[in-house]
Amino acid sequence: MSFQPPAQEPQDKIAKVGAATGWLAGGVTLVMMVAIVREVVGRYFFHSPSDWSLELSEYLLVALAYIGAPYTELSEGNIRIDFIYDRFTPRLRAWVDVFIYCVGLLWSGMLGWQGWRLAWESWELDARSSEAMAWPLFPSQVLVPIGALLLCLILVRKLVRRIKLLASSGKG
Amino acid sequence: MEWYWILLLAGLALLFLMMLGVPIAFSLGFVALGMGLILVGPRILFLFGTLAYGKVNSFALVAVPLFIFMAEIIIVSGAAKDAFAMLNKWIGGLPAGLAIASQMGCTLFAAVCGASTATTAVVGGMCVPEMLRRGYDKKLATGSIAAGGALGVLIPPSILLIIYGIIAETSIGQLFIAGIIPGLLLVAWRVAYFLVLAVIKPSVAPRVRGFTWRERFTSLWMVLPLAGLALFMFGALYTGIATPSEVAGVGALAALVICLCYRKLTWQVLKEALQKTTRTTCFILWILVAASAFGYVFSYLQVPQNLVNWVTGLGFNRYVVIIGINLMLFVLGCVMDPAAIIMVTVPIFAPMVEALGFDLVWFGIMFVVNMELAEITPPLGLNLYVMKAVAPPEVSLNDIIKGSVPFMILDIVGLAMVIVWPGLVLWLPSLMM
Repeated sequence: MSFQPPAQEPQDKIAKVGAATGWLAGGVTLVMMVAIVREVVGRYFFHSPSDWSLELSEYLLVALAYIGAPYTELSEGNIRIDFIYDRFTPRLRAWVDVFIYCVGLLWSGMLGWQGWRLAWESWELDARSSEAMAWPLFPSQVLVPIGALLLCLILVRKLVRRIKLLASSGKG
Repeated sequence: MEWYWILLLAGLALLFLMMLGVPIAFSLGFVALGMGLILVGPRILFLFGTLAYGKVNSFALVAVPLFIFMAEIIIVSGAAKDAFAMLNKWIGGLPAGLAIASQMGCTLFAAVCGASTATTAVVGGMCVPEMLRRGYDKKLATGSIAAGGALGVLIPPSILLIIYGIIAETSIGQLFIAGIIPGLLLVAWRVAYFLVLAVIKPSVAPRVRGFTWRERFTSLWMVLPLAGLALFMFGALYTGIATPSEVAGVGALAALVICLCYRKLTWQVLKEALQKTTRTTCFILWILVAASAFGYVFSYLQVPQNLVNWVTGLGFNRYVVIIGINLMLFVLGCVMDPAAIIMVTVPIFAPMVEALGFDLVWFGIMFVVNMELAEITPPLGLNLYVMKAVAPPEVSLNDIIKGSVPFMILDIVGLAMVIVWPGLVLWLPSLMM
């Protein structure tokens, strides 16, 4: 799982934003860490457990999973079986890429759409978490469609590049 | 449609997509989407949205990024290098001493790191050049550490066991404690193998000079950071004073402190560790969401339930089923990432195993021991490639694969022992407070 910078994608603005979301999303890990240490220290040394640390950590994990999704795709982090793919000719690989991005778009597009329906329902009903703090669910749930939408944008960008590549090599 | 057709067609579709190179999360999600729309109808879609949020919004899963972050920080701190230097001073002078010290290094590093590949990369990067310099056979040096690195997923903490615990709805704390004895057993087998090898074929593992007692005692402090962190985590889990996620949070902070003490903590190091944490956590959680959607559609269509009835109705000895499952896992392990294998198969296997009267904690450990084997089995044994990447250039992938074969056999023996004597797994958790 060693880190490899995006191999084939250009280092333009989108790539920079992607890299930034990578460490920003990862940064919530530090906040989780502080919240949990506060909880453990409070409970064992000061007999004052917090009500919010558990819920905050869960909310942050949702942020990490969805806001980090575009970065993961940009840095080719979504694991796959590539030992057959690697044997394809470059042209066939580009065609397979087109198919892969379409599959990815369908799944993440659907998650975004349905994630938005869920978040909107929570907004309208003012739904709240069932845990101690009873925080509203919308701000956390809306991260699902935001992350899925950003991932779709990355996938569309990759898709367009591959199609252009195929079209230009077809002419040549 | 009959359940077995659904199982067969979904399995084939999944296999086709994955072999083509579609990321595992997208493959699972796409098949779940197609199956759900065709066999259940559009009303299933809203459920996928609910799963996308509900599956990730879990305190148990919070341990995943925290343990990944902890390992990343420990890797850059250099504490592992010190620990290996100390082990080498104490054990290095024995027959096959360097190999034993490296194996102990793998065990110790596995106790602060939840992933196989990271353990292989760190220990392999340090120990392989040293072993080659001392005249060790390159197959032995690389094969033993590729196998040793796989301990990362068995010795707690373990990302695989967290994922298994969540999917099989079993205590992650118990799974962590249950992994210890089988992990140490595998190490003991390997050490025994090194000793036998040192006697019958000393040229592959030449004895190196011993160290003085003074050198040994003055090196003791070098193991403190890793051993202290490992013991703290073990103690907190064993006594039950903290949940695995809490242990991960405190462990991550301890790792930062260790890295700071070694003066290796820079802004760049932190940024890269956070990016790696994002990448690994995201790919795991996206597979988890897709696998849950897949599992949910399967359950809705009663596929696992029918499969359980069918298998239990066959009247086979239950161990025949376990051996069948192991063979299937071994084949999957040759081509697929262990985390993905757990997420795809546990929703189907866990009810079956439970219906046959097996303990789910035991099954989880057996599963992960099998995955240890997967990590060193070509063509997709990840540790083989990680070893290739960190070993000196004169070592070929072929050397590493050949070197891993004896350890694959030892792992199979370990797996058989776990199956025959479930007490090896279940004794320690039964004593937990």
